[in-house]
Amino acid sequence: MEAVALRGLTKSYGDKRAVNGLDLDVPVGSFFGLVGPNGAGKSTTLRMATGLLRPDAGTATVCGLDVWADPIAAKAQVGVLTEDLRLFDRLSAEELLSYNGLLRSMPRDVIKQRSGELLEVLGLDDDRGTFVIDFSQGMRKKIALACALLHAPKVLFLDEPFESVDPISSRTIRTVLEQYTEAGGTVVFSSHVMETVERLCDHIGIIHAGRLVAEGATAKLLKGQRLEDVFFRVVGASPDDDASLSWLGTSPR
Amino acid sequence: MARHLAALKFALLRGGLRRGGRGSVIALVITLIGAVFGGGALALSLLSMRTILPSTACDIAAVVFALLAAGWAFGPVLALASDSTIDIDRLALFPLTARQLMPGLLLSAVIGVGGVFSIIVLLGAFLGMSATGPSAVVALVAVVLELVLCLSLSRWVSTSLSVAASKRRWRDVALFAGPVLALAINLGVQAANRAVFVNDRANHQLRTHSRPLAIARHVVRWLPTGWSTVAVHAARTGNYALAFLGLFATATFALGLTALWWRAIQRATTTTVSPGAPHRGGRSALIPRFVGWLPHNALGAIAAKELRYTWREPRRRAALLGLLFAGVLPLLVFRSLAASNPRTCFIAVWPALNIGMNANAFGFDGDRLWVDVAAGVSVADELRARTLARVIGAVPVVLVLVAALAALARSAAGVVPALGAVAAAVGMGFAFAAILSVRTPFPMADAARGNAFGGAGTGQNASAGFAALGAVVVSGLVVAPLILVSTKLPLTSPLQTVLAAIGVGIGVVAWRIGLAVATSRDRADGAELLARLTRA
Repeated sequence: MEAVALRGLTKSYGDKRAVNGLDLDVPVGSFFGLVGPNGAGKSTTLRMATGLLRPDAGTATVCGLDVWADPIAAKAQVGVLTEDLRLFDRLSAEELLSYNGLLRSMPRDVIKQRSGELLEVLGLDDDRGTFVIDFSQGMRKKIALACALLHAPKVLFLDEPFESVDPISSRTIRTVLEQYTEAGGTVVFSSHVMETVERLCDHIGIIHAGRLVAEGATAKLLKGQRLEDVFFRVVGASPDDDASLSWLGTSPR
Repeated sequence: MARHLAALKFALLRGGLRRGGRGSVIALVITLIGAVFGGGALALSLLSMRTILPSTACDIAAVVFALLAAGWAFGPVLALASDSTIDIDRLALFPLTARQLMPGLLLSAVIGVGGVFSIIVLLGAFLGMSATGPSAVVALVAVVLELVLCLSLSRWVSTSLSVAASKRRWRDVALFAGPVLALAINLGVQAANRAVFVNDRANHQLRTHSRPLAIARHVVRWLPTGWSTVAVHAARTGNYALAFLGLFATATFALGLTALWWRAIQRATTTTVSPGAPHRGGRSALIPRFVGWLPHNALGAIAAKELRYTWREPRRRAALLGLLFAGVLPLLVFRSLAASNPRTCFIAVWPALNIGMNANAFGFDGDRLWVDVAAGVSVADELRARTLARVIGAVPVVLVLVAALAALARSAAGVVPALGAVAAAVGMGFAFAAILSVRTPFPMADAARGNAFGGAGTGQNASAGFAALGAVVVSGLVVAPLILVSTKLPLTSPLQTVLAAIGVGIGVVAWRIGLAVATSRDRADGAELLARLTRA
């Protein structure tokens, strides 16, 4: 059984089709990287796969559970970190974790024990009483990750988890995610940072214009090439597409 | 540049209307019609000043100018999400000087419902105050200066409050202090009105008009908003030196406000909102101790979060204060009446109607609601939890008001019937609030950055306001028969208890129907609600 199976996922905004009949399988225990140009449909796909955005057509299953037909059961298997990090940030770190745990009806003692461990591992132990609104971007990513992990989900969906994060926080997040997959968890994350995806992921999918245009085990997909080169070849863009704009750099009139 | 910024403002209004949908367009049109008719009526009243003494006409104009300025200063602060002026942050990177930018920003600020209303009123004031000849010129200059003064004052207050300090916590204080100040002024005005009314009645004199005008003559016309009316009056009596001085002082004051506004803009565009010393709440549980009985599940978590936000989010704290104000005001106004009649406990029905009516319950959360949706919380549970938080946080205000009115009346006989009517009113309010919050939600601006009084789409706040007003009227019509029947019965009648029970029943049934209607159209998982909050 696949950890995540998306079939014919489609979503349009007005006349624009953001995701166009996307099919995707994510093996259990894999570290799956989703890359694509801006507006390719990565975030929309992740939102549809996690029950945040209803698709116009298609199905999304997580651990065999249909996200849209059986949302309560499916969402219990899922942890989510969104790109914009919109959190209830006038709660303290500890209160936010407690909030997330209670939303999922977790026992109080379990919430307390796991919160303590997560805050310690993520280096937020000293800030457990600080309002999240006063956190730096890196700290916000870490507390959001802690919230996503608290209920021990089987699949983690992370939208741009390494964007705007300093190297130290990035390393902490990476270490936690690697531990998570080693313990059997599945990570699906989107990113623009090719090097990170190449280094971390054992499976990669490339989305372009709302479709999955390439997918597979990292070694098989790249065949010794850099992900960036494969990416440019697959999406049909060239890094040298900047022939015009010769006026750039001249003095303003 | 002014033309560009005016065009930008029109484009923003169009874009906001597109986002807000048909409801917003209708609300904007109704508001505009209201502004034209309301402003027109006021302008005609001012026009009729031509038939009275010039000094009295100028005094009336001074009061109108002061009220207009107060409206401009505190309107956006009190009516959250109503300020649709151009966000200065977006212009920060352009190499524009104050001289280039300010006329355009002033012009764009006047484009809107408030601008239409003010121009009509000022036109009426101009025609009402002026005679022919030089005084007409002075009056024209005076009303133009008044408009500039109102706009500068409004922009300065909004910008200063939005960027009160580079520290987030000071900003929170400012966002709370603004509405508090506005409410304090309102309370002061109410108290002054009451004092005037009581004194006049005590003296058996028909001075309800003359006394406020006396206050106006001595106080209001010497406020900066009244200096221009002093100038007009001086011109009409041939004292051109004083007329010039009045206009000069008004212009200087308006320019001073514009300069302050420009400084606020510079601060807004060159400093970032930083947390300052982080707020450390210590090790605390999410569920406050005083509501430790809340269930430890999604319902309890959301209710606890709402209660914490009621105090921690400055605008919500101010709204709570507004509710307290709504509770205190009847005590102030009906104090003498309550002393002689236990039925004045029914006065508590008015704040009760408003307490339930939180017509945009998800507005402050906005797209943060994804946290709950991702956890599988149903829309019905969201509504139940928010209602529970409202019951805990706000209903005690009404109960205390009932008790206070009973204490003033020195009789508890009116308490039971009043509580029945209050329960019906609160239940009706909750029902309508549930329906409106789910069907027509819109996100409020983020208090931590940008224009904290800005809205998501043009007319959305007006649309929600009209819907809430309609709901309050309908709720009032449902509750009114209960009160009428109760007043026909002796307070000691056992039927009063039956009526109170009926009131509680109406409240409970109304709430359940409201919940069912609110959740009937969408699937239970909250995706549609989240989409509305994200798209809006």
